[in-house]
Amino acid sequence: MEVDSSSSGREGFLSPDTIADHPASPCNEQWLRAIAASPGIAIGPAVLWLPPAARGSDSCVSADAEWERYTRAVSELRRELLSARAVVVAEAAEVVPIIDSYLHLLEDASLEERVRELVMAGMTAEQALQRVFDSLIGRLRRSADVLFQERGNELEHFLQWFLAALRLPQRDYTRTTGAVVVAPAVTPSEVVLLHRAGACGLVTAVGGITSHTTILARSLQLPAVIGVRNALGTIPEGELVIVDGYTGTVVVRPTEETRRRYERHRDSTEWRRRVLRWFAQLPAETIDGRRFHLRVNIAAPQDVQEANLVGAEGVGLLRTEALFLQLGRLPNEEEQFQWYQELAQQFYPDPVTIRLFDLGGDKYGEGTTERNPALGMRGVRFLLRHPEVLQTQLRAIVRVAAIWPNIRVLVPMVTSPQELTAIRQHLWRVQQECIGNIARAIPVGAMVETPAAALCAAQLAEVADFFSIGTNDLVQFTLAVDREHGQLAELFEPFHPAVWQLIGKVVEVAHQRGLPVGICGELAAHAEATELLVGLGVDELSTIPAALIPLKHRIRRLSYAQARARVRALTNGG
Amino acid sequence: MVERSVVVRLPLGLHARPAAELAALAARFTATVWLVRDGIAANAKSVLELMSLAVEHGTTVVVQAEGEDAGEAVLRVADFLQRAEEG
Repeated sequence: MEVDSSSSGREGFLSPDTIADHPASPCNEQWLRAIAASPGIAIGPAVLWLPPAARGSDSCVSADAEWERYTRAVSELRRELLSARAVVVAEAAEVVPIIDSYLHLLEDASLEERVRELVMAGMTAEQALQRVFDSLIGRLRRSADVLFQERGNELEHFLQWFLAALRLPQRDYTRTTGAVVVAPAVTPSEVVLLHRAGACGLVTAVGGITSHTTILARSLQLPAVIGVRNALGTIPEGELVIVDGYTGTVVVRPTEETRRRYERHRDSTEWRRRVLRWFAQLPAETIDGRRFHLRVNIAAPQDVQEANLVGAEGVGLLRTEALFLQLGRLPNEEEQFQWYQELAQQFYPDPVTIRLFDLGGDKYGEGTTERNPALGMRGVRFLLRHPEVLQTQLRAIVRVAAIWPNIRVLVPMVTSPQELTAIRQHLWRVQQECIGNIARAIPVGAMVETPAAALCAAQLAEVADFFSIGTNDLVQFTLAVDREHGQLAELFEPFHPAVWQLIGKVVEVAHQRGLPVGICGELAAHAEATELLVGLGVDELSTIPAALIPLKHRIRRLSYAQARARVRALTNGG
Repeated sequence: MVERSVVVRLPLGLHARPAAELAALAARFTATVWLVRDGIAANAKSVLELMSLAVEHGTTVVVQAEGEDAGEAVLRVADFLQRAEEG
C-alpha cells in the first residue's frame, strides 16, 4: 500500500510532537497475532466477508409463504454443499465426511418437522430455526466434554449459515478471487467455495482450533489465522494484508520491505511444501517391504506443525518438562490437559507418547545442589518422591485419555521393575478417582536409558507395555562419559559395541514378549545407525521433526534382509 | 414399548460420526426409536437430536422403541452403543 507522507508537516505551526504522532508516517504496518490454524503465506487485499444483515421481518405474511421461504433456503444450501462436495472429492477426499455431516444435518428427519410445526404456529422461519437450535446447542454447551462443546459451536455456525441463506439466497464468491477473506467465522462449505473462487488466505475473529473449518482449510492448503479479535474493526476493506499461517500472524498495511520478505518466504516454502507433501505420505518401508513407524520428539509448540508437514505417525517422545522450562514453574493440571489434548487430537489415531516429567531437583528449585545430577534425583526417582507433582500430571493424562485413546505414558530413568509398578499404582488410583471402573487401560512404557534397565529388560517387560530406548543417556551411562564434558567428547561414542549389545538385548527381549520397542534418542536420527536399527528390527524411530524426512529416505533405500544379515554378522563376529 | 438401559462404550461417546451411523441404523427399522438421557428423549433417526444429547463415553442411556420390529431395533441400537471400537 502506498502511503502519502507528503501531507504531514505542511502546517508549520504544529508542534513537533504532533507531527511525529501523525498517523500518515510511511511505516504504519500493523502486526496482529492469534492462532495459526492452517500453514502457509497469503498476500492480498482484504475482503470483508460479513453475514448479510437481518431483513428485519419479525412478523410473517403468511405461514405458507414463510414455509416456502424456508424450503427454498434448504434447497439453496443443499446446492451449495453439493458443489462444495464435488470440489473436495477431487482435492481433499479426507474431508468429504465433514461436508456429508452438514448434508445430513440439513436433511435431518426431525429438523424439518420441528421447524414446520413452529412456522405453522405463526413464527417466522428465522424464529423457528433459532428456537429449535437453541434447545439443541444449549445441551452441548453444558457438556463437560470439550468435543461436545465444540460440536455446539459448530451447530451455532450451521445455524448462522442457515439464517444467512434465508436472508440472502446467493452470495457472490467471485469478489474474493486473489483476496484475503476477513470474516467473523466461516462454515466448512464456505471455506471450500472461497478456496474454489480463488481466495488466497483466511482471517477469522472466532477461534476454535478443532473446528471443521480449520481442518478443511488445512486440507485445501488455504493459509489461515483464526481468533483475531476485532479483525473486522482493524482490517479495512481493500487494505493489503499478509496472512502467515505458520506463526499465526496477520500484517496489515505491510511496508514494501515486509512484503518482499514474505513473498520470498511464500515462494520458497511453497516449493518445499509441495515436495514434502509428496514425500510425507510415502510409507517408511524398506525395498523388501518391512515397515517402520517414524514418530517425532516434541518439546515446543512449533514442532507440532513441522511434525504434520513431515508426515510423522504420532509422537514418540513428548518432553513434558519443556512446558515447565517455558513457564518457569510447574504447569497446572489444566495447562497440561490443554497441551496433551491438543496433541492427542492432532495426531489421532496415531499414538502420542507422554513422557512423565524428567525433572531434577535442581530445576524444581529445591535449592539442593547435587554433586552428580545426571545420577541424582531425576525422572521416576523425583516423581515418586513428589507425589503431588506426579498425580497432577497423571490426572491431566487420565482426563485426556478418557477422550482420546491414543495416549501412552512413558516413564523416565527407570532402573527397576518396582519403579514402574509404583507408577502404575499411582495411575490406577488416579483413574479410579477421576473416571471409576469404566476407565480403559493406558499403555505404560519404560524408558530404557540406564544399563540396569537394559540388562533387566526381561523383568521390566513383565510390567511394561512397551520400551523406548533413550540412547543419549544410555551411551553416557554405559560408557561412563559425561556427554557434556568438552575434553572427553571423543569418548562419547554411540557406536561403542557395549552400547549396541545393550540395544540388541532390549530389542530381542521385547520381541520375545511381543512388546513394541522404539528408539527416541539422537541415535535414531544418526545416518550411520539407520541400517543397524533396521536390521535389529526396532519397531519405531522417533526423532526431531527436521530429521524425519532424511531418515525415511534412508530406510526406503535399505533392504531389511540385507540389514539383518549384516547385524547378524556383526554380533557373531564379536 | 420395548426398552433397555445401556452404558455407552463408544470411545469418544456419541459424537458426530457415530451419531450419523446410529441414525442410519435406526432408520432401517419401521419402529420409532428413542434414546433417553436424564429424562430427555431424542429421536434416534435424527442425527441432530442424537448429537445434541451430548452422550459422553460411559453415560447410561435408555433405548426405547415402539412398533412392529421394536425388539430387534432395541437390540441392534444397544449393541451399537456398547461397541468399544468405532468403525
